[in-house]
Amino acid sequence: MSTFTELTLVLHIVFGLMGVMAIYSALVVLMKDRPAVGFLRFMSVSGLLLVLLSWITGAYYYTTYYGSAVKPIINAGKFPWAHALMMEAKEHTFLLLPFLAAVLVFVVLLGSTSLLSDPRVRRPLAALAGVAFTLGTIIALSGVVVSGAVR
Amino acid sequence: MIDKHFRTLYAFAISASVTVLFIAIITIWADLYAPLKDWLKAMFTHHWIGKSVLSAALFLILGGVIGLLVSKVDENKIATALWWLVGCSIIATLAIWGFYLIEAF
Repeated sequence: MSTFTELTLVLHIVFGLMGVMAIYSALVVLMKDRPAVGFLRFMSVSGLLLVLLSWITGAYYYTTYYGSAVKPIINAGKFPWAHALMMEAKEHTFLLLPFLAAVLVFVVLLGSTSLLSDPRVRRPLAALAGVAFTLGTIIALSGVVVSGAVR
Repeated sequence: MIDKHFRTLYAFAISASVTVLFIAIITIWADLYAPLKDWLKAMFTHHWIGKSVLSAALFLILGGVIGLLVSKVDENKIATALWWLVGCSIIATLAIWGFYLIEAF
């Protein structure tokens, strides 16, 4: 693996984990009756940007290296389901994340403080952040399984 | 209260709901129907890139169109659209994982 490809893999993981942490921070803020709007906006925008960066770096690694170099090793090893289930499901579930993070950002940036404090909107928005955080965690753990299956 | 941004919020929440379902459908369909996967590869160099580009395009275009068509959006409609997005995301996730679980074993 070239140094550049290694770098994209590392950045994909780092951006992804930081994005999940930012979305979790937004979730915690949204669970309060009066959310700190400034912090919520910062964390939501950070979450979206980090997820987008993880998407781009992951796309480079996945399309230029994984399929030709990693996938055959996993399929020939003891745990072929690590690719057939974990990687396939992870790479496609990941595609949902940017859109969930984008809607979160639209609402917290365009919505007024009173809208974000309104429980009718705050509750589904917290649920949305919760779903995004859960997906991000599942995707990260799946990545650990895929990495383990290569060794 | 009707806010000037409410239509945008509502439109993109609905658009995202459709987009996440689209991702699940095209993922499963492309795995079951080889010509679709081949077309994605031919058009976008890789099927995953194709799904990414088509999903982003659908989200932006549909969000824009819905934003132009809807009127009188209030807090309740935004809340309903956000709950729809939560539900559609869960359905899409279960569909993708369920499909690959069946495929893998």
